[in-house]
Amino acid sequence: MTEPRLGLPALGFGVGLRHVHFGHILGTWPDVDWFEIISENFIDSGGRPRYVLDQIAERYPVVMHGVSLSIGSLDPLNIEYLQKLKRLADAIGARWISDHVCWTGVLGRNSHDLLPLPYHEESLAHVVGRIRTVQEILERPLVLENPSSYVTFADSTMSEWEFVTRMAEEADCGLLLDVNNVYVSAYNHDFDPLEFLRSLPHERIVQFHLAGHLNRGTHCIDTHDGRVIDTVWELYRRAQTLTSGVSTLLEWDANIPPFEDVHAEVLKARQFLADGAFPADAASVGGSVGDDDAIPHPASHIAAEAE
Amino acid sequence: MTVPRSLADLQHWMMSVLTAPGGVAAGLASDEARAAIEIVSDELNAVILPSQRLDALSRLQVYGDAYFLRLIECLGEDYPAVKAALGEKTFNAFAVEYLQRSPPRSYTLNDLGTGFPDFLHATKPTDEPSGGWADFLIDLARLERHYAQVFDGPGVEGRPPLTADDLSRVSADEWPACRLAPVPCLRLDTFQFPVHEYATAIRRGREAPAIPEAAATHLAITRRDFIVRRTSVGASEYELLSRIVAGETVGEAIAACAQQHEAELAEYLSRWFARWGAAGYFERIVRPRG
Repeated sequence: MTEPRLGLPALGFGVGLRHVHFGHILGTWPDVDWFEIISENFIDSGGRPRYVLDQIAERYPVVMHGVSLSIGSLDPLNIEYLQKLKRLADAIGARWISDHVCWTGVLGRNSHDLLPLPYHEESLAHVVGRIRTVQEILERPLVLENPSSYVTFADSTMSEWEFVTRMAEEADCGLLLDVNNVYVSAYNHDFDPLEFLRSLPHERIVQFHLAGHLNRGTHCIDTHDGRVIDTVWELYRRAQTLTSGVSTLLEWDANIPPFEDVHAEVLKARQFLADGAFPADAASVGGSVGDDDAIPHPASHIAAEAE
Repeated sequence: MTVPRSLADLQHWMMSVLTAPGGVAAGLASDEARAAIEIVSDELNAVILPSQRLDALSRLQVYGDAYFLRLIECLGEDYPAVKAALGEKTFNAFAVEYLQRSPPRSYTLNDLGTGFPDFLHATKPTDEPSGGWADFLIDLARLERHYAQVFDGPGVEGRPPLTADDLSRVSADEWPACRLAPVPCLRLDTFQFPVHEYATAIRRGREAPAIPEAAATHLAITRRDFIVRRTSVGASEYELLSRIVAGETVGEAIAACAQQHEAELAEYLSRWFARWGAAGYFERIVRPRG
């Protein structure tokens, strides 16, 4: 029998570490339960990003969340990249390492996007085999997130939740359930988000993601640029009930407000779980005001600081 | 139409379609995409299903739009001064062409702009005069690439730096045979324009200044306290510094430099060493064995 969360700890309510908050965090050491980093921003860093991370890892639990594993790609796994992930995880005592059920490129090219897979036996066997290899190299379970997606492949022979469930059980890996992504994909693919939630192997869910998105009417985009909407809060409550409680992380990657605002958004989760009342400022529809160029934001980039 | 499709064909097709500069409709018609899956736009539903609210082509376009917007945004963050000099619209056009010629291949966005200065150089109009507008842009891009590499590359923060006092304690007899090991974040480069002043103005949020007059500019670029610093140095100081950084002994470097700059060396040598110590260009003195 699988232990809840694969035996990994419940860390509470965390915040995605973003460079615009580096100074605030080092200056105030806010009372945050844990941080999640974008792995690619730190695995090669010899400068301020790594210095800041080392300071934070001394004081808070840290989880590594990647965007370039490309577990579903037909290209060979990048062994050097995996070894760098492992070295950083060992150095900072990362509680776990996660990435996405997706592919990011092929033929040596990287789109830096989380591209969707068709859900069928060939893709399932391919992904399961690669997860096993990755877990051997990392010497720990891999935790994979359901991405937001925008296309449905005619080739798919199973639902996303059936694919994810079989993948997790056959590869013996963990799941990062992005509740906002469930909502976005359900809207884009015309499925019932509750059926998605109910069908997963709940004991394998190690972590939740929450975020804001943009609803364009015809489709939703996973913009990570605003507050969590009330329907996603409700899905989150259901998911917490189904899993008996796992770590929650808020992502905010565009139009990033001051750290206190981002932290306050995830703390609403704790309050919401306690009293069941929707946060007063939760909208019923996701939106970004006046942003015609809103795009999914899976990866972030840290630009140089120069005099 | 090829049925059933392999996962490999589907990925090759999708990558070709999404990265086509003219949009996904143009991508569908490209040779690369059609080599993987031979369909045209009105057959797209055989690969991508429509949703209740959106047709298949529009769904695919979500990824196509995001590909260029995201990468152009990232390139602009690495090259803010080049972007300011060109203006957003022109910068974006350059960026799209660059991404076509050098599509990203690394797992990290830090590598996205590695080839951008070379791209600008390779695409410089042949009728553009030397020392003109195009050379200014190329210089600016080279400087901003140095900034990106120095910012997140190896540094010496946390290690005691070699100070001006350390250098002053070396006896006059010892100096000629000594070498100085530069800090790993030190870069030396020569430009046709004072691009550092333009780049600093942009990074401080000022309006884009006028393009400066051409003037040979030698810069020492390094990092202290995790911030990239740049200093303009004169030609004679730059030559001496370059020779020492390249591994010559202090004596060899001075002797070579003195052939052209004897008077300046006599007047400024001790001041230069003091300045290099204060700027933290070196991390240790390497004395000859024995």
